[in-house]
Amino acid sequence: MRSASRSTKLLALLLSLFLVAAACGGDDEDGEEGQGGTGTTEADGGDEGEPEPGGTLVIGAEQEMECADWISSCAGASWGIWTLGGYTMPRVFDFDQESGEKVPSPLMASEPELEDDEDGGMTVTYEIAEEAVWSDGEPITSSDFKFTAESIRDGSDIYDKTGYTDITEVDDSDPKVAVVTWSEDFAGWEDLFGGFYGIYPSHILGELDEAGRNAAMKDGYEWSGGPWMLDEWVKGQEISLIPNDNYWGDKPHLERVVFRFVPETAAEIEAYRSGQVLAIYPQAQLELQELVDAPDTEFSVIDSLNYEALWLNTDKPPLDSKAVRQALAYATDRQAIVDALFKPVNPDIEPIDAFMTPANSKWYSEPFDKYSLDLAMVDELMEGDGWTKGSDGVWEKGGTKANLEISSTAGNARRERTEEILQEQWREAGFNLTINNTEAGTLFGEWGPQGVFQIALYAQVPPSTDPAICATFCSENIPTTENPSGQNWTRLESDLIDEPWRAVDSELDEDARAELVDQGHEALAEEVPGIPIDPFPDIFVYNSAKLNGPLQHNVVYGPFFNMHEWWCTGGTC
Amino acid sequence: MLPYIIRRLLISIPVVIVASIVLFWFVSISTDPTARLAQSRDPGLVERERERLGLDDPLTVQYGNWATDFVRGDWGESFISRRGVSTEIWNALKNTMKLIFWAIGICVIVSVLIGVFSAVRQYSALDYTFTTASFIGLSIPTFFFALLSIHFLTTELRDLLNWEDPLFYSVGINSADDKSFLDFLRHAALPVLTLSVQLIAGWSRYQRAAMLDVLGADYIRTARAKGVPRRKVIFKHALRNALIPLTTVMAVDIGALFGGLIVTEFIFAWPGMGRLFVNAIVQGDTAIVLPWMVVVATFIIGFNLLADVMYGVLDPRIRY
Repeated sequence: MRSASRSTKLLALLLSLFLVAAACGGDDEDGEEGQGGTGTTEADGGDEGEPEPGGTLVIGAEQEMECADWISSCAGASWGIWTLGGYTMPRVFDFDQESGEKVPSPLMASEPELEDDEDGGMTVTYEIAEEAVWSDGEPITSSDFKFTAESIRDGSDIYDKTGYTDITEVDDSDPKVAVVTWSEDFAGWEDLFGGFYGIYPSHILGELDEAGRNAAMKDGYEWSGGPWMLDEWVKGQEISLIPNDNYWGDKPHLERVVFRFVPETAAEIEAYRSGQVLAIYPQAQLELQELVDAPDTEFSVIDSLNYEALWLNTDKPPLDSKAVRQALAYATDRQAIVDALFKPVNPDIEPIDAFMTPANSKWYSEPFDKYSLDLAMVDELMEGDGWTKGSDGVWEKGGTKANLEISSTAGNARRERTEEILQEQWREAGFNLTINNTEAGTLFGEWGPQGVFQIALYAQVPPSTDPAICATFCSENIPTTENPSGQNWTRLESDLIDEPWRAVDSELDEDARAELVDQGHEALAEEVPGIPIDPFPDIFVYNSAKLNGPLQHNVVYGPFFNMHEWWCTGGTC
Repeated sequence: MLPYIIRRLLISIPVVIVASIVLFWFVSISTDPTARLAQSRDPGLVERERERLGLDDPLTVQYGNWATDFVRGDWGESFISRRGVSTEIWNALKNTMKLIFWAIGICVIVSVLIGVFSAVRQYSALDYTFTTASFIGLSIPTFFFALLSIHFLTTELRDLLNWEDPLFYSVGINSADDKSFLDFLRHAALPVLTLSVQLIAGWSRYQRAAMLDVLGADYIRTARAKGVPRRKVIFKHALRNALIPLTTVMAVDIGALFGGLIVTEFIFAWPGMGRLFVNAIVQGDTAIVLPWMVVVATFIIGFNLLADVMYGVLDPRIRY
């Protein structure tokens, strides 16, 4: 009895302390209701009122970059650009989400001028804004363009040299005009001196060799040519940015932005709900629907550039037959797959009708819209190709059943669900589909390059909005002993595909290029080296009661690209 | 005792070598550190990177190169981040030790108190309560408990208190604009709680069983019969002997914790040894994985040895 009595007293004491704490907390927060996630204010987009300076904004980041030397092979993670590179590296072009066009950035005094040279090469003249300076006050000059181009072109440890290898000269005689000459036409020139690389400061890095530059930048750098600069990178925990006082454009309203690394999705959602982070940019997962109706929450979803597709290995029978590939396209109810995967978080989502997404509006077209579920067309194509349906309802030809095998990355719930839906749909159409998944390293490191698969399900992550996709579909990029790194894992050789997509790489005239892209899309829909399925939804979630400004997506530079225009209600986040 | 310690240490060396070979082989065949470069349009990049990292050499050569450098004190740099491996491991180790320090402190006190109370008040209502709670604590998956604790003690508690900030945080070690000790405690509370639940559940059962054994011993009855106060018998005579088995179990468990906080650190975004290991495994970064394994193995072996030594110290009947 004595111990029970003590326990009761202890419990009563704890309860009292708890209630006192609750009462104190309530007093402290009077008048703050609706800002802490417990109020009922509806999300309104948060783009009203005058900017209020100050405040530390904390954002949840799912991944941490490994390295901040953007041109080096140690970089390449998108989160590096979203957390640091995009706001510290000056670039020539920005991407305008509204128009889907690249527009000159504040670095440029005028739109870069392209000149098609008579010798088959081309020249671009970049006029740099007079007021453009680095964070230390030194002007951004044509020598920086030259240093960047030469570092990439001549470097041995470069993530991607595409477009830089053919640069023959960068004339930096005028500090504010860079004249860059290419030996061959390169249609994707707008991605250079920008994109995920930016422009490097020659006055800081110019004296260093490649290893020295890498050492100076990989763990973060103190200089900046954008609105923000790095304050601190605490490995494994956070990156914090502070305003660059010498930025020549609009200066940030926020006092500091912190990206906190939260690798686990469920924990990230709770971190948002509890107010530890005010914005998150998660990968599309069904758990996110918990936040759709969360108070003070703007749940914004658009299509990204990334997409998932079925990739058909045309070396493997029966996929060497165009009729069979087209029949599979007609046997696939892509809308049903997309609905099952993403409808709860994006009710308006639709399947993509090209190997590109509508987010790339300038180049997107819809040749695959002819492939909606149509079992009569399946029958017609298969019978036309000499197949007959057996008593078990499975197509058969020459004693061989239409047995297919699909492979993807093991453990990815979304892909496994897609495979299960396909199994059902294709069974209805007369195809047997078995699943043989493996580790990502095996699929992308061995099975894909070596062709040890029949059908693969994986995503494409286009590096930019440039429409060039010859690397994925042209016959010269089929992996061979001489070219083991070729990316055309469908192994389809087709002049119909090769001709337009090769021309897209070098056509400088925009209208002519658009026509070639359309032809290329049509050719892919005719040959069906794969079946495009879904665009990855680009999801941005933020607290609209606390966060204000023009918050919006940017499919190239992420939703934080204009953070310098954001502010927190009352100057406190 | 010194010869015994030396003998044990010498036996540990081949164990570490064999473990490192197995792990090296496993990581090398199952992951590819160049897989992350698949999106590059440069066809030669992967080959250059493989050459730079020596990945085209036979596995035996790769392992031999690593082992030689490691023994010379050159732990190299991460394949992916290119930061020094010793720095990466040391930073992670410091953060893991912060968790372990607080968790062990709490677990020792709580589990001993529960164990003693349950033994002294065997079959009382609270004994049954602690027993039930222990089984729940042992059965509940760490992952699930961590998410529950985040939901209820971060989000729900904040709403209940009507505070703007949660009382306990679930992300990282410190707040962005507050690096105070109090702020650290608010961040450490939930991972420490998650870590402690299973430890307390297990250790309190050991303590209870050991205490029951001792309380039934003749010398305890004799002490009571001679009129020694009950409290003195329990805490001076019984508890001291009942701590011996628990101490050895604790030492072994603590050693394993240095590499065993994978789930806890991942969910609470705690940049410790567990998270470092997961990231390295996923990326195929054997440059991190192998030294990590050696460090953790050293802790496990060291604490096992400590357990054996302490057993002898606490129980004079043990001779080596």
